[in-house]
Amino acid sequence: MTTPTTIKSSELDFQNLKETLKTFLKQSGEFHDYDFEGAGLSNILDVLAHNTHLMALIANFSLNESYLVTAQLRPSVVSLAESLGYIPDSKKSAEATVNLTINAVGVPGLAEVAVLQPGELVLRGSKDDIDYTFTNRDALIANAQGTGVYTFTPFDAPDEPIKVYEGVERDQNFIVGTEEDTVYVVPDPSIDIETAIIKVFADQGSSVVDGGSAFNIYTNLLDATTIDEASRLYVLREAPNGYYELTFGNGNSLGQAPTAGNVVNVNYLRNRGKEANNIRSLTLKQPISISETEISPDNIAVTMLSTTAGGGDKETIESIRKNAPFQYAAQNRMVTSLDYSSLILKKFSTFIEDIKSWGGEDDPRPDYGKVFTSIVWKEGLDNSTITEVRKGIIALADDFSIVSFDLKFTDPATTYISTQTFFQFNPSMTGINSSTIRSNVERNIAKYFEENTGKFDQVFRRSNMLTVVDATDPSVLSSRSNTVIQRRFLPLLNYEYNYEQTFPTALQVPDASAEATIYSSLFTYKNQICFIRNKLLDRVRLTEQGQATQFRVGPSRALEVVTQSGRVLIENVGEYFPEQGRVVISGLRVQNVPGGKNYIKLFAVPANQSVVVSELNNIIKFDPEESFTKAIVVETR
Amino acid sequence: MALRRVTPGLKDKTLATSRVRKNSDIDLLFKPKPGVVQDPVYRWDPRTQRMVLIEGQMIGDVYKKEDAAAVVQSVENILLTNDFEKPYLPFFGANIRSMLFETVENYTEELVRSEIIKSVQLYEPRATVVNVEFWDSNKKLPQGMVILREQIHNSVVIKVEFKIDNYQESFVAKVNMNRLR
Repeated sequence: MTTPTTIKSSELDFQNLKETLKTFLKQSGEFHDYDFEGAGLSNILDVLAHNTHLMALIANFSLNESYLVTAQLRPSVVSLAESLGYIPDSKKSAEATVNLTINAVGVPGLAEVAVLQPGELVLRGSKDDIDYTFTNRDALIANAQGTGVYTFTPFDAPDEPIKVYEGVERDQNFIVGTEEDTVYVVPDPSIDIETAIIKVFADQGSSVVDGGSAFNIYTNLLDATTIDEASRLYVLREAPNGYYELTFGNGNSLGQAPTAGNVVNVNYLRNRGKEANNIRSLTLKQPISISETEISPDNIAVTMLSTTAGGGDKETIESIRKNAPFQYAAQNRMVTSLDYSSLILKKFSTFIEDIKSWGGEDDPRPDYGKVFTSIVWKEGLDNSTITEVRKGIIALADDFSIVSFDLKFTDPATTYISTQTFFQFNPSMTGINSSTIRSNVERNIAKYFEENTGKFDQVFRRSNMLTVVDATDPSVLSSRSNTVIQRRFLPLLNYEYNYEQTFPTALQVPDASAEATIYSSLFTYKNQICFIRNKLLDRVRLTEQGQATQFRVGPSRALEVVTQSGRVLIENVGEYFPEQGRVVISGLRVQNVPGGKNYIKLFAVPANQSVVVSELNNIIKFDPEESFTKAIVVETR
Repeated sequence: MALRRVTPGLKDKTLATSRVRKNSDIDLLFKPKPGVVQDPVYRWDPRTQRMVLIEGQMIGDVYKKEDAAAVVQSVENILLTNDFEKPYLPFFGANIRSMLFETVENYTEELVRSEIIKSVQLYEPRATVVNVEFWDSNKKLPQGMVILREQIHNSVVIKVEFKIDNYQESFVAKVNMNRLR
């Protein structure tokens, strides 16, 4: 009998474990029936292997849940992110800016100054036959100055419009006990932690009447710029069960803590997240009183300045996984360009689809002491909302950025890609006809662009796109594609103007092709339909200055305006610089753009058609209108 | 005439040897062999005038099933196992007990028989089923399971007769199926 070796229990798979146990028994030689599934020994091995398998899985799950990159359960991800100081976003209330004016001319006994406390302005919005409630979270003030007309503004920011937030106001009260480090759980998963107001009342008596004898408002730790022993700070964050837990400092490290007998009041909005975005009309839902006199709704005017926006659902697991390490690296201060992106995204994530920041020294036109930020906004945001968010971002940068560094917004520059794809197709290898295959190929190309472009720092790779084309159907045997990139510019109609466009990649040199490298869509010049292209039959000097002059006739960098029949209207309208990807159009007077469009497309053939990289504020998008596919029917396999 | 090539030193006769595989399995009764008693507590029994063990755990080795007994136990295991009982081998077993709750039809008897033969063939290659019989407690039942309902004892014994490799005689495994009411 051989000496039994140790049992390997590091396998995860049940069958492997059972085989390991059998190997052990084989070596022991005492029992021989381990190979027969009906044997008693096999039953014992089943139990042992199953137990080991279960333990191995538990160990595996436990280890996976211990790291942010591998954790699968939301409580684990939230908990690990919090250990990095990252508090995941709760549901966010949609918000809107409004003006509120009350005409109380002739109403006797009203005070000159009227104040509306948070929650006293209640508006109703409606979308898809569902009503949403919007309310103010800041105190509002108005001074009639003897006119009887009250125009309200936020108490703390009189120059700003009034902000209202979606959600039904809720209160949760806790009596502070004698235990230390108490955690107060708010049993509501739909809370908006950003608009929550935490008040601590001296005792139960004072809490009965809001605004009564004594209460202190506490500040969110994330909004605190300085902390000392007198600070009143709270932390409101997601608990493992999806509810929210409120904690305070212990009286030493995070400032003052409530004492025994105090009453903690959590006033929050139970909101519906992004469902309440894009509401265009708000009306008064609840009467407003001034000096305890109810004002007739007919005399109250609520004007919306922006559609509702910014509502969002709880931050997803993948978003937490991505953002938490960057947020930790940023350390709540804006030093590197990544810090800017990270902190802005953290604060305004419900408005922003994607963000890119870079230092002024990295800009093509260096501007030292500046930080550039380019933002792709979420769909449906109107200009006034974007302006408000930009103001908020600048205020955030003022708080957290290094002194003397300015934030500068740059709009994303979109470069469109159009493809001309040809694929070999063998009809005998499929039951699908050519036109269906072609539409499937087109759909796959569009899907490739949808998944791989549209955000910052993305790359178009022709080979990857063609792989998708080849995988459309077994009858698609091979494929090839030409890539054309495109920028769009708005012409100043009927004015002579200079235009400059910079592509994110180098362009093909003129003599690489007999066809135009640069060309535009059609526009009207002097009542004639025409377009721009680089000259195809130009005299290009081949020799240096001082040498015998030699010319060749062929395509050049110079740009001309020609009609569709090829008649030249303007001999020289600019030039393009292949290495820099820059096209300069000088003194062009556009009369009109046909086809109901207000822009002109400027096409260019890139030097390397295989790859187009978007850097800084460049974004790549697909232009299906200018793209086409063609099936070439073959009989080979 | 064919020539025979003889390699010097080698015999021209084929030597046939047999390798006997020993069957040995653990006895699923888990009754320990008499052996050492752990933490024993004895008491004097005046009636028998002997010390009697009143507390303690027998820690002797378990019994083993060997040779044909091991195969018989294996076949009994197969007969007593239902589908989905064995982990990661969901269709192991003859699935007889599940028949208890099925409607009894003319073909039920044949169905049980074929299930038994198939599962033993699949999972116990050492045994070959030669006959499956259905008995009342002590009387062989006539053909047709429908008569089962009329049996006064509300029980059927399924006797499976099978051969084991390298054994001349037949062996029998029994499964008792009882109806409570």
